[in-house]
Amino acid sequence: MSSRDAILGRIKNQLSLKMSDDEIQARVPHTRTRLKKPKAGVLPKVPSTSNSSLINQFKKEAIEIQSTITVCERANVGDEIETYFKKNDLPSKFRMGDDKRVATLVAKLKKNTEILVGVSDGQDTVCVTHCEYGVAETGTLALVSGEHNPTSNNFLPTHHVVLLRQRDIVAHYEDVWKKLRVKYKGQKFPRTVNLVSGPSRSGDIEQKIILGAHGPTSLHIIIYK
Amino acid sequence: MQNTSLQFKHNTAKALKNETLQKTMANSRGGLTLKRAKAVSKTPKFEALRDSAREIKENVLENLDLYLEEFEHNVIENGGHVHWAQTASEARGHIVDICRKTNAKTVTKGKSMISEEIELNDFLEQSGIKTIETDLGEYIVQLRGETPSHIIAPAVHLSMDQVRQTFLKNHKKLKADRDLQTPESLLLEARAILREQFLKSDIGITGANFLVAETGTSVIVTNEGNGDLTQVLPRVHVVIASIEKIVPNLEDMSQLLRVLARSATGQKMSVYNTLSTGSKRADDADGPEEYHVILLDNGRSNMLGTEFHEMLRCIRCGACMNHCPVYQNVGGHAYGSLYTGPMGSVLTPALVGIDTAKHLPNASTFCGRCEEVCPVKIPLPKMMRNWREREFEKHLSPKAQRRNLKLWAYLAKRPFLYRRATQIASFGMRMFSLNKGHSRYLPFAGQWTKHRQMPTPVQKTFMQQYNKKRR
Repeated sequence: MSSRDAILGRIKNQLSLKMSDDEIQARVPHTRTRLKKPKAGVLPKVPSTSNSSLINQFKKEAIEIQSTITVCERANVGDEIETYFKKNDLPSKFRMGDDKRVATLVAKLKKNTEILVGVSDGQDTVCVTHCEYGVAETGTLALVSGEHNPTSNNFLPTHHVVLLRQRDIVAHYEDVWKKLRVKYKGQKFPRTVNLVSGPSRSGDIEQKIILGAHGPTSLHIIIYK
Repeated sequence: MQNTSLQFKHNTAKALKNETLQKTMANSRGGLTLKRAKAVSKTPKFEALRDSAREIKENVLENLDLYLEEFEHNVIENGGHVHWAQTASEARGHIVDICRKTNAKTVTKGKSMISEEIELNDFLEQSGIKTIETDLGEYIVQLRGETPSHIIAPAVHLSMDQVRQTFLKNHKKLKADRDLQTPESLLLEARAILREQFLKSDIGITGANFLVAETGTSVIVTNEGNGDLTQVLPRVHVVIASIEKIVPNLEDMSQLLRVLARSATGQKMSVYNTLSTGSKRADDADGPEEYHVILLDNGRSNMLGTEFHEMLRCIRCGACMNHCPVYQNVGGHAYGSLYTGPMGSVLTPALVGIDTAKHLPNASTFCGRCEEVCPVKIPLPKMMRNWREREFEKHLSPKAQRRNLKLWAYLAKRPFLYRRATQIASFGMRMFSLNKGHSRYLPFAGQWTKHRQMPTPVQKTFMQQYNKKRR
């Protein structure tokens, strides 16, 4: 008997100690429903689901967890990135994934900024990525892997700059799952979904919280209209 | 990890005298409990969330076989492999096989208690595969040849000075006179050294906080991002998880995430919550080409349907040990087992047997704080009591204890004798108090009165006064 069969068999036998045969059988349709028709549970209240209210909540939560944020017009995203470089004394250089959205938004920077495209090799100080959604509940970014967005770029740089479209800010994580199920219907679920809440940190040395444990030391979010 | 729980009494005596340990435990004590309390006070629906989390895990346990099958199906659909392991030895075998087929020389590891449970690191090293822990606390503990003392904060028992000494001793290629006076400098050094390891690793091994049946997804929760660098950079990603880590769907997982971080560290969300599903897609820019999930039983299926069934709801937040007065005074290593504190006291006997772990369920005053803060409402004191009953039935408790309990039972079944005995005891205690209202020493209770004063009983016993009033 394979280990698989042994384990599954033992589970069923043990459960029979507490459940009748009918109850054991009734589990099949029940689990089908739970798997195919997931239901949201207890959702923390949000002040309102209007986009402007969600933006405000997102900003408030993200700042509480040491992210930095700017809000700007679409046309000024490039300027905001430049401002970020100047503010942090960084050379005008960054890496991005092969993402058309990012390419359009940073187009005006091509003249005086070195822009590398592709998967980071660990030598990049700044990576710029476009996220799919922002979750107002906790100021969290939802990033999805793909040819446009190498997951490595979210973790290797010292500074992670994330572009977030205003109308992609949702209230709860459950909203993200609903949208992803629609977007990837009939296809495989994305290889990696990162829910990122602030810069990397550790409390392993005498409980003192320090930023930049292995992932980025800074997380800068540019929300554009 | 080799279990040494039978030495618990000796270990605790040592721990209480260990000045460095007492300092570091005092330093951490209260920190995480205050943070949790703050987070809970800011979450009006926290009780409802606990009930929801409890319901989800109960649902999982009642349908565990069905959800496991669905999970396996979806992992395979997404290009991954599932390996089933009944024992630690089988699990190690699967992992070494994968390493050999890949010709792996170096393995990086995200934090995984299951990997410690199966003693993976030693086994891999013996098979000629270099194994590097990447969680900062685990890395420090690995350098020192120790085991983690807390499931969330593995190095909580260490002072900064001890960490500094460990780095100076082990990072030999660096200048001996470099400045390591601040926690920041220690962190930066570890970051640089481990970054090198992340980039050249052949296989990344992580645990899983959750396994989502709906999508065939493994979920890891970290603050450092080490788990992510472990699993996305190498060619092969191996997940090792115990079978009860399953959750039905993404919404259920979100409920559990909401109580997990708040209970563990008082954060609303840990920094990185990552969902990994299968192997690299055709149009992925990066990611592992191979994805393996090892599902480990190792005693869990045997707990289902028994009086210890509810222990399987545990989501490994560590809140119980943060709030336990025993753990907070002796630290994790005193328990001599991988899982410590209240959850360890219930889980360890189930995994290694009550004969070996009999001291652990006794290391409790049943104050009940653990159950109060458990995000999935596990009745920990009740299960510790169940273990004590089993211990008694198997005649594992000390002879003196059994004898005294027998004597007490003899008297308690004969009310007249019992009352006489309490009158004599009451008289004796008044003698020892020397009219001070309390005693600093009582025979047969020396250990207790060493640190406490026993109040003296009033003149007459309750029954004496009651009978007098009745006449």
